[in-house]
Amino acid sequence: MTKRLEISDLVVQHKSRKGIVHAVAGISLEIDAGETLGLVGESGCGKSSLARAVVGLNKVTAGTLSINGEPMNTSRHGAHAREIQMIFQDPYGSLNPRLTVRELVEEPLKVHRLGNKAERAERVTALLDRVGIPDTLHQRLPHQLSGGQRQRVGIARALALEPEIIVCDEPVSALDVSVQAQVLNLLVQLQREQNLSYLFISHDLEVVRYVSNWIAVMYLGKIVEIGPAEQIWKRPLHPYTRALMQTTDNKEMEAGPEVKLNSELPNPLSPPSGCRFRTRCPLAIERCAKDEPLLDDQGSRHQVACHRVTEWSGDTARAA
Amino acid sequence: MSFSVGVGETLALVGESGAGKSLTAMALMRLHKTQFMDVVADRIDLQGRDIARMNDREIRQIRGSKIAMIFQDPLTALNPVLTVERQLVESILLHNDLSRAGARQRALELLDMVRIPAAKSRLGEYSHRLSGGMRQRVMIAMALAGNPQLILADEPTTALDVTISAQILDLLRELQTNLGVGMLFITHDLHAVRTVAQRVAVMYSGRIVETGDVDTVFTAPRHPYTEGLLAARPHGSFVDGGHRLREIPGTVPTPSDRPAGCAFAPRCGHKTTECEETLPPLELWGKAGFACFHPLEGVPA
Repeated sequence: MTKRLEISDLVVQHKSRKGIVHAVAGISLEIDAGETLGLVGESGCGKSSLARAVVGLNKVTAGTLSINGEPMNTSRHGAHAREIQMIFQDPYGSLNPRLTVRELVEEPLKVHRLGNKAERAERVTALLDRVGIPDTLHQRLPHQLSGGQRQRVGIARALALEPEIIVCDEPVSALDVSVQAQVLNLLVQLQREQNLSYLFISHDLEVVRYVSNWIAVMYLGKIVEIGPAEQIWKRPLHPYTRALMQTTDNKEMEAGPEVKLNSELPNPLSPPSGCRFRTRCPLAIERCAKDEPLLDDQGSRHQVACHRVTEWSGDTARAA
Repeated sequence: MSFSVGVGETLALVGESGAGKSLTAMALMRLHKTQFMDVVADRIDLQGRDIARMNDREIRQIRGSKIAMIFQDPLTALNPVLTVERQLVESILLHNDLSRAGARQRALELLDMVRIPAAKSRLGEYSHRLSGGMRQRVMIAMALAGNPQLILADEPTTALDVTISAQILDLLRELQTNLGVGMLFITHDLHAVRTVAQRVAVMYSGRIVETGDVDTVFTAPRHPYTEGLLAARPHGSFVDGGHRLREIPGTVPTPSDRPAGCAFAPRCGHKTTECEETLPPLELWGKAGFACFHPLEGVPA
């Protein structure tokens, strides 16, 4: 079966004065129709570089992307705007401050020359209605809206071209808890209605677990663990994932090695040899400095890149 | 509002943006904009001295020495053109009777205390050269420079990554046990509250609506707002269970259009006309209590 979105061996580089950063260092992911892949990791791990490359905002250095089996044209900016859209963390920075709510939502329709004026107006009203923006706010400017309302406008804009895939980059991180719930509910409902696929990026593991079918954990440009969301939540195997889980109120996590991180992300300009996580990993052994661990299936499509994983995955794998 | 923080105790002040959390801390330090705002307090008591009655000169002596503050964004709170050493030594000299060499020694001790690796080499750095976590550690070191009795921590981990934030929370908890300082911890992060605080006060639109020890308030909230806030956090999986998250409809009212009665009434499912007309007082039993006419039964959430 062809996947809605397929990413193979994607590499994204950023050039800086000090050298080249491999923000995304060879990543393969796939998302089915109507499903959500949650992507977690610390800032600087390359989540956003990956997201931006997928929607065509970053240059793809190597690798291929395809939508429904059709290879994507990654050289032309916005070539796939009809199929793939993005929701940003900070709707204030992503909305033109001088356009009204209506104009903002109409803009993508105008750019793509869809419908005449009356049809567009009708569509804008329907979109704003769907995301829960009342008529009284239609002529407002972004700064006259609350954070939650702005994010709703951002969502309406992303939906305007009826895309199949939406990349959500930290869509609720800037919002208050009670407003987060409103936006998350809207997102999962829209997904059900329109069979959307989400690439959902967040550092908030509880949020990611709630929305995702699959969770991928990223560290310094590489995927270190990927699997079904509930598996990752209950049976995280990579030391890094376990460290992330320990920062949440996860009470369902199965027993395994305790991992506490005492240092910060190493310089991405010169990532450690072998396993990139080894400099912060309390469980690192000699081998970790030499060989780079590859993603290895631990059963039920749960893949982990760690040399020592079999030492603590054994019992649980047999049980599963 | 009224609250107290004991020696070596952490009180968390939780609420959404616009609840007035930061303003409370600013008012305690008398750092609010006096030309626009008035702070009326019966008493602000610090170890038997009433800050509310102090003049500007007296409060300046308290600020930084008796009460210290940690801000959300260390990049704007630290001076970008001074080295870590200059800033630390400056605040140490201001609050302690030490020679310059002694102050330098103390600066190193403080950096060690906040677990900055290779502290000596960090002394000459400027704040923009440090990572977010390191900056926050430097700010904590500066806050400790005056040997405070009370630390006001205003969202100290909000701008940080989860892994770094966990380290900072650990550090704060440890410093507090070792040094016996009281801490007022301001945050909107419920997980952080569970990690560092013993007691919690939930704020809504300028008032405390519920307070008590963290375990009780979080497992059996009495005020509908507290309960709604806890229920709004994602728990479980939508994909697996298909449940919707509980929303709190609407938004926090601005101070200018706060309703006459309970400020939460327009968003509350339990409201009656009584709630809309009269303001429920914060009823306290010991150090716990809530401000609501129709409290929940206190069943575990």
